[in-house]
Amino acid sequence: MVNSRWKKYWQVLTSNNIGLFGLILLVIFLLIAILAPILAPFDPTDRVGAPFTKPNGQFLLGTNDVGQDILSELLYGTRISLLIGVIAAFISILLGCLVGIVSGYYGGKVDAFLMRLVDLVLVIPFLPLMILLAAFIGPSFWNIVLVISLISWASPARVIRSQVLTLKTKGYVEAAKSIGTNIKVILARHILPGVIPIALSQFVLAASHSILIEASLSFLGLGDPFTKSWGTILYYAQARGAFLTDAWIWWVLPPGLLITTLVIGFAFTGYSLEEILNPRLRKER
Amino acid sequence: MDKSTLLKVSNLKKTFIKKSGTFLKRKKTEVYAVNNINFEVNKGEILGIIGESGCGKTSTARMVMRLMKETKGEITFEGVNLCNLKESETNKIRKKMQMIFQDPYDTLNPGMKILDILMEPINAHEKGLTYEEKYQKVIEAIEAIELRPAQDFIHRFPHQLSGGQRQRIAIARAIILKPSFIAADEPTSMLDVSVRAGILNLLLDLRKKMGLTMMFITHDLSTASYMCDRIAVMYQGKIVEIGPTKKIIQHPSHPYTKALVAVVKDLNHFIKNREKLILDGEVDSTKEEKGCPFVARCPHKEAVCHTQVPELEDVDRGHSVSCHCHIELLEKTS
Amino acid sequence: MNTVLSVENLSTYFKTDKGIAKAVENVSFSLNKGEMLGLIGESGCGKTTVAQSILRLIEYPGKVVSGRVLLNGKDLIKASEKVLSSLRWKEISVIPQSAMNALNPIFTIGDQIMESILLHENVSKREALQRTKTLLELVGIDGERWKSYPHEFSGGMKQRVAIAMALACNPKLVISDESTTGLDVLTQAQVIALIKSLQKKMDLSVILISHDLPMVTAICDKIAIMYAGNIVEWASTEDLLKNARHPYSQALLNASPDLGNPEKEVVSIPGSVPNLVNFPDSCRFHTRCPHAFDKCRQETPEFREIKNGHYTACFLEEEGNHG
Ligand SMILES: Nc1ncnc2c1ncn2[C@@H]1O[C@H](COP(=O)(O)OP(=O)(O)O)[C@@H](O)[C@H]1O
Ligand SMILES: Nc1ncnc2c1ncn2[C@@H]1O[C@H](COP(=O)(O)OP(=O)(O)O)[C@@H](O)[C@H]1O
Ligand code: SF4
Ligand code: SF4
Ligand SMILES: [Mg+2]
Ligand SMILES: [Mg+2]
Repeated sequence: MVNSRWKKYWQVLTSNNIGLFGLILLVIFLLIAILAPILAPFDPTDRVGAPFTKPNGQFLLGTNDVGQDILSELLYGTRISLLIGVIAAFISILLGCLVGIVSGYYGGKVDAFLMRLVDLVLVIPFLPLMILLAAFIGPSFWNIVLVISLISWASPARVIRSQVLTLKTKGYVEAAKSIGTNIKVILARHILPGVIPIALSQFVLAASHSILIEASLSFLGLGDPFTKSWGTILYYAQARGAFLTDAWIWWVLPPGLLITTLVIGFAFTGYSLEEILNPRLRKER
Repeated sequence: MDKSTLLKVSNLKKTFIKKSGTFLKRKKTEVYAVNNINFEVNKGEILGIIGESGCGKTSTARMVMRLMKETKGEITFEGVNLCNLKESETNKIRKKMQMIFQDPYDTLNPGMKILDILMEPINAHEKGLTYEEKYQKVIEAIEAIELRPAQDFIHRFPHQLSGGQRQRIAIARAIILKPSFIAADEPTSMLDVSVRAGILNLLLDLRKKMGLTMMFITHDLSTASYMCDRIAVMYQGKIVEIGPTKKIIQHPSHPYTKALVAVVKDLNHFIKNREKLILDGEVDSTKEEKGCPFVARCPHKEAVCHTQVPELEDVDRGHSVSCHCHIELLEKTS
Repeated sequence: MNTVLSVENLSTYFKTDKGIAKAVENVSFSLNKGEMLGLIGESGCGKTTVAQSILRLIEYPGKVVSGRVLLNGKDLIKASEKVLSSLRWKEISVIPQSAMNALNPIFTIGDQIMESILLHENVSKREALQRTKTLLELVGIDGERWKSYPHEFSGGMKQRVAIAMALACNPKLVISDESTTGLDVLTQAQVIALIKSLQKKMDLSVILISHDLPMVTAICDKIAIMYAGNIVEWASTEDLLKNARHPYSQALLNASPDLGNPEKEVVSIPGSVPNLVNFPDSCRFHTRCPHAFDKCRQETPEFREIKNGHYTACFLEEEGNHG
């Protein structure tokens, strides 16, 4: 049953064109990230050509202000963007699960307090806050991850809480209680298995948000200057005036497109996962 | 307390807050789900609780099983007041009292195998056993509920069983720890007629073999009369009549019980004498009546019924009724 | 006696992912004027499908594959949609299981009853309103309450409104599809009492669909017992109670406790209802029948008259070795 349930999710996911498309995009990006050293023609940190070279046979997307190959930068940047997105999403989901489950299962004052906290995080205008935070604790890979996680755990917490509330009213949860099973076991055996699928879809959506946020932060110059993500590349392009010259075609457009595509990949996968897990949506199609 | 009393419920009350009205004019009214009830369950007996849906049967059972906190009152089990226990102490008591729920499709976790479902109570209370001992207990429990061969069932998931079989597994889960008390909340109401009888007979059989004491909830009087030694009739959160099954069926004394018995005993008689047995009243449970809760539908009501709440009074050794007019009624019918 | 409705060899199938579900197979029975027939069976045995087939309300993936439904001699299965809509409400109507399905929450109940009168009969608005009030009185509701909305009524009263609506155009035949299931015992009895008294007053023919055998045996003239898509026995209530011939009918009578007979030991029927998809030729009850023998597993017993007006489908009758 458990196996067949997963098999069914898989079937619905792949029978759904949007989901399949998203999944294919994600696989492609994953491969690029893993195979970056093989795919990239140069080491992105080496100054291999003259600064501001236009695209030619050797440098397909030209070089940047210090003569590094932009294509190689982009290929390696996939690693950073993907990694930050995934790690930040993972941490925020972990936080979200914890808050959601505790809040949903225990209810009462704990719930009220945690939900007010969630509301607070949700209504704060996130960009100014993040800029402030990032500027305050300084730009580094882990600081970026931390900032993103702190901002994006709230919405998954809410979704997971509502799932826990539904699960809590299931007869088998009440039965477990009446048997005398202690709360930790009830949470692990009866609640968690129902939460994981939802958490998964939330994770995918959170990853797409995280990637966007990272790109925005880096573009504003708050990214880690030593690990160049797509956002950082855009930042330098902006700083060196690429937006004002022809160079935007090979220096600005490609990272922009990559960010968009990756976000779309995550979003499509996430939405169709959500559809699978929410039968009401599925029927409406 | 009497030595033979296993469970004693005193002045038990449960209210819910019901919100109504528009957004601006929010009204909060207290709804009595269970309104000051008293009863005892003696060792080895089956006490039936019957009444229409919404009269508070499930709420009573859930409070007894400590799945719901009471608003007021006391629940004494084997001399221990359950209402003052800490969570861990309650969990310990649960080994001795178990519940069978109404919906067999909802009460078993769809993602767990029967073996794991039945292991759950053992893992909660008898952790010390070896896996073989636990396994043996599971097999014994499945055999006790007459699913044979047991080995065929333990690796199935609930969706691979019929409704009746699921309810049997739920019963197995309730008896696996050899409890002394079981609360069964309408265990057959969602099953087909053809398998109901099997579940009823199984419960009667288990009671004989294990010396179980039971609280059996149903909305069906004939089922109650088949299963129970004593019956408590609930209406709108109150017990309106309680007594030995035979007396309730043969000499129902509360107008509500009379109507119920008439319907089930002889529907044609009920149809012919409908006006004498019950009125078409609308019942609003949010309104707290000053008088008798049955007054809107009672054909025998008198002025006092509107103003005074009737108390449960003993009319004939262990047969109690809460009605202002039961004495006159008794005279009228006999 | 004049026959109002006669159902002959009706079969209705549903297409499913796994094959054809023979939900109703070869069902025959008839109904006289002023008669009350109880159609009894466990859930899923095809009662609603029979009712819907009679009214031609079966929709894809279902289909009436054979048989005739004669209403006063007219075959409804062959009738055009136009003829059908003139017959529904005026000749034959349904009290649905849930009054919620019958009543629209945003209109007053008076408007809804009036609408069904105006839609099917050529009368003035005033006359329709007058009739609406009379109908409400008939089912025991104050006629002046026609201005109320459904939510202002209790469950039992809504069910009465549904009955009033079914009677709006003076039908000759009323089908009540579990119209009291889910109500409290007393409310249920009150609604049943109402149906019974209206039946007598208006000389209605009624098909009372239910799974409550004691209730049906108390008030119906005849009873048809369904199992897994077949009618297995059809007889007068008296004959059925005294001399049930089909093993399923006998088992069903033994399955529920009887208040009047405390000594009665109830017995369940072993096993469960078979899956009707691609059901092979055989007696559909053979998997649970204590008397089943080889022939039962290979052939389908014929539904035939064994005594005046007493029909059943069991090989034991043909062999003449009942017992
Ligand atoms: N969790 C709850 N919240 C609000 N009202 C409830 C709740 N549980 C039960 N009630 C109300 O309490 C009353 C009694 O319900 P219940 O005990 O379930 O009755 P029964 O089991 O006899 O049908 C009903 O009116 C119901 O609406
Ligand atoms: N729309 C449908 N699609 C497929 N099968 C159906 C459909 N409606 C009914 N059935 C089948 O017909 C059988 C009889 O159903 P129904 O007439 O509703 O039974 P009852 O009213 O006796 O409970 C069911 O077992 C079900 O499998
Ligand atoms: S107290 Fe009065 S209203 Fe209540 S049941 Fe008795 S006679 Fe009827
Ligand atoms: S035909 Fe055979 S299986 Fe079917 S009811 Fe009769 S004896 Fe039983
Ligand atoms: Mg209940
Ligand atoms: Mg039906």
